Amino acid sequence: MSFFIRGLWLAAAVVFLPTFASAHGFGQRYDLPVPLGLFMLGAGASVVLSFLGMGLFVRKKHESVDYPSCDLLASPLFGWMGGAGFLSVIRALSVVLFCVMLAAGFWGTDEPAKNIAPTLIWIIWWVGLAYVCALVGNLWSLVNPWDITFSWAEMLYRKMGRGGSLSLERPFPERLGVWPALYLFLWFAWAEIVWPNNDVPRNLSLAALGYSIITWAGMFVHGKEVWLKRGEAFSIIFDVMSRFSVTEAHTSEDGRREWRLRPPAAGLLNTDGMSNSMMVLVVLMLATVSFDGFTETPLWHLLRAGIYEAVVWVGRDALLVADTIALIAAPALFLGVYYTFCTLMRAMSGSTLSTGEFARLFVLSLVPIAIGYHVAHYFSFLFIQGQRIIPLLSDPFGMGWNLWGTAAYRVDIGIIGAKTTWYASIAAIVIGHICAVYLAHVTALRALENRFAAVRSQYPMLVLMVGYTMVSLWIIAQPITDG
Amino acid sequence: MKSEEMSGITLKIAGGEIQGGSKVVRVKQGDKVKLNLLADRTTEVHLHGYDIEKIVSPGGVAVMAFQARVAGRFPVTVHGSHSHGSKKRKGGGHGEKVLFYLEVHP
Repeated sequence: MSFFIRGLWLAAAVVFLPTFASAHGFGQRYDLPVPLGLFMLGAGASVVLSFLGMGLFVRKKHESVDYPSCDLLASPLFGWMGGAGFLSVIRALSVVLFCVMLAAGFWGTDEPAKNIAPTLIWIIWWVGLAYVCALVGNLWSLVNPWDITFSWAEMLYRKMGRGGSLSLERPFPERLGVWPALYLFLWFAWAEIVWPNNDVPRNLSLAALGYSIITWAGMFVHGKEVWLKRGEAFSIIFDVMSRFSVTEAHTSEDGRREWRLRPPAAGLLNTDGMSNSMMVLVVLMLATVSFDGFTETPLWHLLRAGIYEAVVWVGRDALLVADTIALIAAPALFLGVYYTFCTLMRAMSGSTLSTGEFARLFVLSLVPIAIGYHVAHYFSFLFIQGQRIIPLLSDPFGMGWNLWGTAAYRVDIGIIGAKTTWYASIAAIVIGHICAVYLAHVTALRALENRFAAVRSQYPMLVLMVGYTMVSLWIIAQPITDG
Repeated sequence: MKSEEMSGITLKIAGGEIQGGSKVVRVKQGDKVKLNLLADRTTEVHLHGYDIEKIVSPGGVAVMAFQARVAGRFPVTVHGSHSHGSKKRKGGGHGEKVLFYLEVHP
């Protein structure tokens, strides 16, 4: 299986690399660096609120991870959203959009800005859906086209009167954890951050098709639900993000669909079933989110030149190699720093838990900082570049169509003011930081032996979180540059 | 470099690079901006965001005149150039060579 996957990706990599097309400023951010005063304000607020928070939160011990919630679908305002018909239409639309994207990549124009595939994948899906999942709820679990198409195939299989399941249902080895998803997500991060031709529509469709084949194969061999939890990287990543959001989907005991409103970030308190591989996957996600922003800073270009010098003997692809090394070094560095702080937490608290247990317990509490940063980093980008989808929906292949009459729409770069972006960015990062501090405190009080140990464990954690938040603030205070 | 309302800002391009240290041109939001571009060979210059394109011929001056309505940091690139492996943006970029950045401050 893994041989098969590796072969596929290698083949894909060979196909993609030589292509080149001209871009017309596609996917650019026009953000001004956050001014020094606001940077200081954000930094100061993070530190002060951390200590204030510590004083406020350490009083009460939470025995369980329960929190209040109520079912939105039970209210007349949202009830219609739970209807089977409505959900089927949404799911069918998602598959249609996925097919249009694939087709546009293969048969549409090769100009990135005039083809729907790059905008739909990078801006609407990867940046936009992350916003929706992190703030509203896990939309991906509803619209995941691989999940939907495979369940359609299963339905058809049953209708044809075949007994049993479409899947072979081979047991998934427990020791593999979520390593398949982790491996696939690393490839995705490479495509997002390193791959020089990642806006060429045909490349994107090939990559999406390759990933689809792997996903369907995984579902066929191990069962759909198993693969969604172990190998489908985006289901896992969007699930982690959506734990920060204010809603969660459930099926009640009598089989009713529920969409429950809950306190923000509450989903991150539940660390049941957190494996080592899952902990590493979360750290990988945190690292790639920050690294993505870091690659637009002047410091990165200095560092990059250094790495390039060291690998220049590779030849033509030395820069690609340098970037790939950095992409792997960033999560390794994050993991090293995190593990070091977990060792410190254990030592400070005097707890009998192992460092590994600390690492698994607290990793989700860092997620709000990454979400705050993601929201800050892409705030104006999503509002400005996201508008590209309006004309593209009318002309997805760039062939001069005007399906819905919106083909002539021009992007309004003034839709969000620079100051609004600054304030929103600082607010997002500071709020993310406060949520993180809160989660770590609650987790410490719940999981550690006594209040004394819990409080002591949080000193190193606070230092780590303040440091991590400073990195976020520093990045958005840097002028965006490409060298 | 500071914006001077009437005379404008003169920028010389030689060998595909902007001459004179700074790679950032700063103006205030709402300013009337006039960029006078000179080049040693025929160069197609593109101001992103505002989406203004000009062809600069050697010996001539191409003028980009506009009101800086929107704040931001906008790259000005040479079309058709392709600096080796310059960092691309999310979903693209292809390392079109950035001549300088126009920063419009609120």
